[in-house]
Amino acid sequence: MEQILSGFAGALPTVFSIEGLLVIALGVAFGVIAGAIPGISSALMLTLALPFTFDMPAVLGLSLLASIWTGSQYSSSIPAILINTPASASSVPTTIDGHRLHQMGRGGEALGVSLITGFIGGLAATVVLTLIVIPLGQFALVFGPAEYLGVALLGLAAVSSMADRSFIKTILSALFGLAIATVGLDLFTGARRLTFGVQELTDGIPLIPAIVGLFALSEVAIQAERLRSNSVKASGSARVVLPSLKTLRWLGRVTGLSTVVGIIVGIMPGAGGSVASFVAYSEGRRIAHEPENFGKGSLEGVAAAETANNAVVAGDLAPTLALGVPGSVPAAIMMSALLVDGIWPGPMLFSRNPEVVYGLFVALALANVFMVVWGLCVQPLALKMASIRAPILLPSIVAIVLAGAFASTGSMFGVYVAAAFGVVGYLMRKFDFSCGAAVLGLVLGPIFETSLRRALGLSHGDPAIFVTQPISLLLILVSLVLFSMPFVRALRRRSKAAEA
Amino acid sequence: MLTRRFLPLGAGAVLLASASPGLAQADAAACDAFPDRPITLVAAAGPGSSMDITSRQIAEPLSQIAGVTVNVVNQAGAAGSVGYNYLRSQPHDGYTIMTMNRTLTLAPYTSGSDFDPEMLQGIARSVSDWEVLIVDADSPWQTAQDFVADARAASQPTVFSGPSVGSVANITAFQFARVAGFEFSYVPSPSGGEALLGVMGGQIPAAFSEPSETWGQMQANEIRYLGVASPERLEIMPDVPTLKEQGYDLEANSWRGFVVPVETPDCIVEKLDAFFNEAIHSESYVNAVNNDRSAINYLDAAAFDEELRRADAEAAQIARDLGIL
Repeated sequence: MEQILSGFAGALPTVFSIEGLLVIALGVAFGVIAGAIPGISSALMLTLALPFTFDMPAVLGLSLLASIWTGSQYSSSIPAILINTPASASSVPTTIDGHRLHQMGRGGEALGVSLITGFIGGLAATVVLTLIVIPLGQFALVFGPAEYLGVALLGLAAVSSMADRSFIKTILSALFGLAIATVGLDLFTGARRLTFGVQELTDGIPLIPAIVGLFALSEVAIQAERLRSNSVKASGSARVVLPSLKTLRWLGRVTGLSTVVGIIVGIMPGAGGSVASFVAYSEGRRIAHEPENFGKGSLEGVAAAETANNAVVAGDLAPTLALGVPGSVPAAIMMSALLVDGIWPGPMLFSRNPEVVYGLFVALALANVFMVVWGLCVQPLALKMASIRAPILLPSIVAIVLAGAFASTGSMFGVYVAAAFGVVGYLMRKFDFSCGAAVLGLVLGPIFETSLRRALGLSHGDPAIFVTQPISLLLILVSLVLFSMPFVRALRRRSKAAEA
Repeated sequence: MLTRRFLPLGAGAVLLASASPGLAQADAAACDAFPDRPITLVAAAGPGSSMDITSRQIAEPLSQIAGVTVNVVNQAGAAGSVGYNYLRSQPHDGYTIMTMNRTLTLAPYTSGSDFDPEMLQGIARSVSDWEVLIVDADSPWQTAQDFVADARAASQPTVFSGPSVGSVANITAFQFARVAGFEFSYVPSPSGGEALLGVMGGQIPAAFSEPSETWGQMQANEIRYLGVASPERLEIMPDVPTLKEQGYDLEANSWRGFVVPVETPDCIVEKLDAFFNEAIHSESYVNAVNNDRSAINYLDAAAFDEELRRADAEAAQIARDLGIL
């Protein structure tokens, strides 16, 4: 406690200086704007900003990077809600309910909820991080491959929350995602799997172009069809509606759980925002007030995903600061900003440079505040943009998302992938398959496969490794329950029908 | 002296010069003017990777010395093939330079990448990271001998981890197990960081790593360095014995260097050679390297070009030994 106080005392003057506040405000602004564009990853944004940190004191440099990261985690929900295009994989679950809400004319509400719950998740996680950063970081050591497998399964269990019309078709969509996730270089043998000699496929199907195709391009095609049949209605609400205190209290359950999920998944290296939001979406449905609304335009669904992906930032920083092992590319870039000043993250950081650590925590909290400010500035503009007449809006969306697909791979390959997945996505939606479940499989497939094979490698082939450790056993059992819920529900319904 | 591969080209240039003086003058003019526009430094890996960081560290001193802007561009993917093909696709005029590391020389043999050192001209090697054998600080092993004794006695192969199969960490573990005479199996981790956490968490017995990746954890007594695969003890850690002095004849490191297409005119290569020599020894670069606990291990254009060929032959041999080829 004493250390925390003295750390704060050393850090406050730097962070609350004019430069400090300016750095955080501009960092968040950059993050929010660039983060709303599909294809511009937070890793790219942080790399671009890295040279600016070299001439700053370590605290300010880190604050700048953390601010950009915070802003970008939030704003990928804006295109997810308004144009059915998540700017990064971590907002895919947001799309499911957020865009449905927008179509129902409640897009303003969805935007408001995503901003405020993101703020709550980010701030709460920062407070937790500040209080127990070292034990939180040590927690990363508990997660071996068996535990990773458990978390991947828990995320995959989200398919049972996505089943909108046909459960079988949703499962098939997830399997399709898992199947295409096997494309690319095999970590364990160096073999090229299913690349058909295409060099660009060596690293697998690029995620952002696939998402852009499945969601945005298919959406544009479907809207354009409606345009021809003249049945298109001007959807969307005119203004952003912030959730009332009553709504927030109602969302409290989901927000609380998602914060915890975000922190824990954030701690696990290599997992990150996309896994966190899928797991939170699936877990959120279990405890929600209105689980039946998930997938049909639920504010709880939006809150679940958006709280989690904002809480991830603080979770991710725990092992980076406490152990010196970055859990993600943005965290690695922040670590290299520290190294430039000759400061090594790790346990000794807290005794040697407490002002850096606690300065970063204060900056992170402030960044969440600025996120709300900039969010309130950007959202009405975005809402206005989304209500432009369809004949103008739809081609603009195509142009923007294809540029994003290009940017994410740095070549035309991204555009081709997006176009191909556009066709796939269109057909999937026409036949009631789930694009969200396909992305779920694509995101979690590599984690699932790698941890399965790593665990078996470590146990010399003995599958008992999955059930002899308490955490992995628990995770696997919970996901089995989640998977079976739709079947149990169906059985119950049938038996009730039989009784009646 | 710019390697014998340049002799025929050079001779050709002389012939051309006598046949068409205009062209040679244009070449000479291009040489004199070089560089008069921004130089692109291609990192064959994504933002935050070691090649990316090296590129960004050298970009500033290089741009001051060359007097033009140096832009870093990431061309990541396909085990370095994307960066390599990008470099090859650009004009061979010295304005596009690629940052590479030792893993790229292994990739053609371990994961079928397009990388071909015969099509490249080395400009400079900047740093080397010597491989260190790491174990959990709570483990009973104090020396490499302790570790090897247990590994030899074990009924199951001893598990090593690190990045993907074919990485420097993988190959070093293979060579160490062969020299020390024990059975080993390699379980790759999606990143070096995850392998490190596995060692710290006690799930993975051992790994080969580099001081630049694990210095903080070693200082904090989270992990232990059992030995370093360098010819002699390193200046930054005089207390860590080499594997050699513990009886295991093994040298392994990961280096980073800079290359241009082989067709680049000699006079431009000479200029770049001088620029990089100065940039690598500049205060800002040396400081950055020291902060990373890496070590300057400079080779000039001619020497690095030879080293590239040697590394290629070595990689082919390693792949045969590993049974990958």
